[in-house]
Amino acid sequence: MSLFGAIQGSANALSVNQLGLQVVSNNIANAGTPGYVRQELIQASSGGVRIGGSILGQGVEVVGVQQKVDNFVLQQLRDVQGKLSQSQTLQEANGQLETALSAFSDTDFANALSTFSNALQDVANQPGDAALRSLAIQRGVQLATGLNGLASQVQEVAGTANSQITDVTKDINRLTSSIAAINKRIVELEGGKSTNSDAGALRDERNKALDALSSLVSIEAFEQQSGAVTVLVGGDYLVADGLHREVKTVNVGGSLLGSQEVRLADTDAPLGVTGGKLKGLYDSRDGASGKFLQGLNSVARNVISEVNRVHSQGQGTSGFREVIGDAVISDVTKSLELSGKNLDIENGIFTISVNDPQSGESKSFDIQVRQNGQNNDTTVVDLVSQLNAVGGIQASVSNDGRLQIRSASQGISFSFSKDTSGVLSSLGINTFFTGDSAQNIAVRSDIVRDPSLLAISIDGPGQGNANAIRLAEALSKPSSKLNGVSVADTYKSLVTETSQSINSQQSISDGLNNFYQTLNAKHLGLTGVSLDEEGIKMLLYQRAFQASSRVIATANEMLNTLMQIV
Amino acid sequence: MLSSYFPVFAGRVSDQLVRGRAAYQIQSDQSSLQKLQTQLSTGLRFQKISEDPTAAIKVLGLQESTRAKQQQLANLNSAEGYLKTTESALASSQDILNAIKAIGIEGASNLLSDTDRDGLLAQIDGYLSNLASITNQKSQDRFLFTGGDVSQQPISLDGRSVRFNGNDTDLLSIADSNSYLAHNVTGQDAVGLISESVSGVVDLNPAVKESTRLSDLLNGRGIGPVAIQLSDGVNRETIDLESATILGDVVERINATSIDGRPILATLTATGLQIDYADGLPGTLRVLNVGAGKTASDLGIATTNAVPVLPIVGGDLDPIVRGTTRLADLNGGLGFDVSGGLTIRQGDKSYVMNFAGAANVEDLLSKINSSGGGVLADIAPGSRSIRIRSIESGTDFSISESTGTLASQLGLKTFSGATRLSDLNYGKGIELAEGNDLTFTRSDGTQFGIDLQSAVTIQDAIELINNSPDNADPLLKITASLNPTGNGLILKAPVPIPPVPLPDPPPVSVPVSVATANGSGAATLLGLTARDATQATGSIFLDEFVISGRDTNPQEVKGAFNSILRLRQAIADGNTAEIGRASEMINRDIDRLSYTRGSLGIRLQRIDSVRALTEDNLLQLKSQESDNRDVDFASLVTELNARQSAYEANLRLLAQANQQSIFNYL
Repeated sequence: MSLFGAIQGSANALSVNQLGLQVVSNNIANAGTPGYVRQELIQASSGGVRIGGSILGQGVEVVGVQQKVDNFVLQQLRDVQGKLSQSQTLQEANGQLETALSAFSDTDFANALSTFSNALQDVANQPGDAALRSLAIQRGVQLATGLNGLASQVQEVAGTANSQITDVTKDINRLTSSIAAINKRIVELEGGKSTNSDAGALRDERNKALDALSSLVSIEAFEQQSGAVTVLVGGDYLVADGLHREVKTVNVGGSLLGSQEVRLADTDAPLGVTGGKLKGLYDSRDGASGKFLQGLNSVARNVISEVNRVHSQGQGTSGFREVIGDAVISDVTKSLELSGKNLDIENGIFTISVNDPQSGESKSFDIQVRQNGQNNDTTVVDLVSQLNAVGGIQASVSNDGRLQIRSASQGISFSFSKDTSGVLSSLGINTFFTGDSAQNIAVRSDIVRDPSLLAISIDGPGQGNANAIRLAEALSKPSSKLNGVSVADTYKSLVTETSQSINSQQSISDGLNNFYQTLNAKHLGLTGVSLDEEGIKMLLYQRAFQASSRVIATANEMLNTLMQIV
Repeated sequence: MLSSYFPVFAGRVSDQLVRGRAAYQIQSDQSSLQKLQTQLSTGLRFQKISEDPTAAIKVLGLQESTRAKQQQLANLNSAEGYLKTTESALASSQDILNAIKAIGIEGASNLLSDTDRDGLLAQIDGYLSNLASITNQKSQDRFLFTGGDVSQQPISLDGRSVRFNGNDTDLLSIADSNSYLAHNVTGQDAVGLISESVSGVVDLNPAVKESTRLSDLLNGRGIGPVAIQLSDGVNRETIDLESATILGDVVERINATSIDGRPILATLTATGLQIDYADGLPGTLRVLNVGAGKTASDLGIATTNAVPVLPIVGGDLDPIVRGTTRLADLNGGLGFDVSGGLTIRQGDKSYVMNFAGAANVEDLLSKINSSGGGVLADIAPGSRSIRIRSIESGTDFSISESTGTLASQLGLKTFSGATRLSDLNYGKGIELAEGNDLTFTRSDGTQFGIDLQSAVTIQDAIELINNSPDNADPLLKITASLNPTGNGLILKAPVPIPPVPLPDPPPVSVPVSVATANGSGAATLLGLTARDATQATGSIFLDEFVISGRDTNPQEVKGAFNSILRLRQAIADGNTAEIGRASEMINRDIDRLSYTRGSLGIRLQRIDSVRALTEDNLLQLKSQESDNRDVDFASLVTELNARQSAYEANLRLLAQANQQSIFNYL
């Protein structure tokens, strides 16, 4: 009876060792498979039988095949992967912004500022040279288009982020639906067994999907008793058992740079994203690009206001016959500063001179601009009536809300000077630049057409070059309107800020990457196949198989001996 | 910096880990090598700002300064070009003046034949036209000597006079930050094309108005409006004047204030502010400066007494005159009667200015400037009076009354009571004799003499004549005065009425006359007698004898063209005295040119030294840029070698370690 028992026990051992070899062979076969988690045969001694006074073992049996993985390390790895992916996405966008800045190159905006100022100095050197005036205007155009170009490149970076957000949405849906499907099959296959990792290949596949998902969006994933994984994003579940929730991209509007947002398809609630590529895309669009564009717009506004303030007080080589303001006045009865958008008008005075070449007479008039915050503050209507009282010119507000001044008769021309109120530059009268942002800054088209309108004098049309010097210095001299720094400085600090944040972002990425690699090493160390280890296991199974075979042979010989007695 | 390895945990090591780690290290070695290679091939430490923000931002600043300095060099070179051309034009002008000076000496000879004289005149004409061409010289974009209006030909020559069409604006360029350099020489500095100014001595004294700019007050020094404080001895109210630009703003803000419920009333007098309680009742009202500010003092309303007298009448705010100042606001708000106009004589031409319709100072100036009278009228430096300057060389110029008294009121009359005798006759003055200088003959034939020794001005001379004890009899009195129209003196005496019946013998009656006494030049030089006469006799006009004098204080442009034209005329006239005067003026013109060339030389020197400095600066900037941006080749090559060795070691290790396995021994 016990000899048969021994044979039976050894026969079990034979099959267990064969299984062991099969697990080893699977591990060796997958030694190079990315994402593969090595498996181990879990074996246990079979329960004993009482024979007489002793309990005898019945050999060995297989408990199951288990994946060797540390779920805590895995979750940590996914967290870091999400953060790393966020940081790398942001870094990539920053890189594009930095390329757009093209520092140190000929197309650098700081270079354009210098070139514009230098061209104006050339005009001051040769005020009688019309070609140099045209060149200076062209340099102004370059400056404006430089800003336009920068702005549109920033928008492009943001646009790329927006289209990537749409792609990420599709990927999330693909991954969650695949995780849900795998969940279902794992539950079916494993049936909630305690070792919980019989369906190794499916689990590997699910792990890969979870890894991919965690690099897109920060997730919390935990395994249920059943073997199914539940995936949460910002507290909302995306996958539970065999079910997943779709997400969608919505354009919520309200931003210059587009505003694609990922939301849950069923509740329309925004996905609470704290990390991953998606967060990186949000950050690069709203943070990096948005902030940069904001800074760029403020630089553009500074360029416009500083140059215009100087230009509006000067005169070209000839006076105006007609001038139409750029600023749109929305309410002609309100005090000037409140009559339109972004008007920076102070209490002050400007002078308008009307020149009649026939009589050779020139008449100047002081126009009062009262901005005391009182009831009698000057309105556009007041301004128009003051201008109309001058004689020789006609002022009005056009249908589209622009101040326009025309000479009343052929031959009469007019010019502006000594504006302490800023009304001329704010209303866009006798200005150089138009626009109010980096996207729309441009040189006034009438100056481009007629370079004689470039206001290089301050003592009257054609009288000297003093304003050309002031224009040349407008962007490089400290301005009281900019807290004592120059426009060039404001650009430099934008560049400094951006590059510092790119630099520190780089450090964050590097740090995260190092951390990720360290964690991954830990993970790989645990889950990866060691061929030497498998070789040893193979020897072990082989020897165990040989020994069990020998036990059977011995038991058989013993039986033979018994049989010969019979 | 991305680390090129990551730590190995104690514990299990898998094949994937070994391979992954090796691959990572190789990857990182390669990327480092790439970076080093880029640095090696470009010679630059970084390509992007973010690689080294601190150094990169410094480099950006250095590049900006470099571009500015390079432009400054271009400015200096451009200025030098113009100034050198100008210098050679001035040198040629000086040669011409020296040649003309020689002609002057020759022309002063009494032995000139008509042919000689014509020859000299022809030479002068030649030089004149040469000098005119030089003055009208154009270089690149501009006329060299025209001032700010660079496309305007500086002078026009009509044979007898030269008119200046330019101005005396300097053209500046940036030589260094906050340092400028004029790259032109004005026609005035070069050859003298504008007369000395006839500046009104009269303070035009404009009244303060609500529209008066605060920056125009205190003779243009302006006041920095910060804040003032009002107090009734107990309560205090601070009035913020930060953004006030005109007096109206100040008045308005004070009027919006109440102290302890009593509104304050500020008004403007002709000269300044006046402040009181609006209810006009007595009380304490003090005006104080705020902190260290002095706005209240500057506005002339700061009070020092504990209980000031109300209303508080502020001091004179002395605003300057602007083109836009209304004529009616001048003269302390009384205005000037401009209806009489002005007469400007330029050579033998008279220009009568009519100011009908002129409302402000600029209108007045504009009418004078556009009269064609060859004058330049503007507001005098200091902005309290008007000045008129002639821009026509070669002619006499004067300003006199037209029909009213405006010239006197504005202080512009060129021959007035205040005119100094020493200034008469182009500054030669009057040669006086020992004893009496003038002998007057009264209508009764009796004579009296006047010694002008003590007279300094025309008015003194007039008073000496009128107040002479010998000239007291009202029936015979000869009265001197300024000619009310035109310039010059006028002598008047009543024509005696023959008594009825006529006594016998009848009283002597002769026309009054004035004559030179003791060989004095006074009669001629005061303009009372004709140039070559020693006596002038009165003619009867209504019931008076009248002797009208000439204007002996003609103005002229002190400049080369004037001198040459005067010399030419003097040689043509054979007037040796005038030849002498003209030659003297040419000497002064040569002096002025020498001076101008000297200061031009200094300017050129300054360009040289600033350029040298700028070039040094540029070198320094470049070297700093290089320090911050260029690679240190020695350390780069060392690093490259080290990296390559590490890379090689990694590869070798990977290859060898992977050869070992338990399977080799099975």
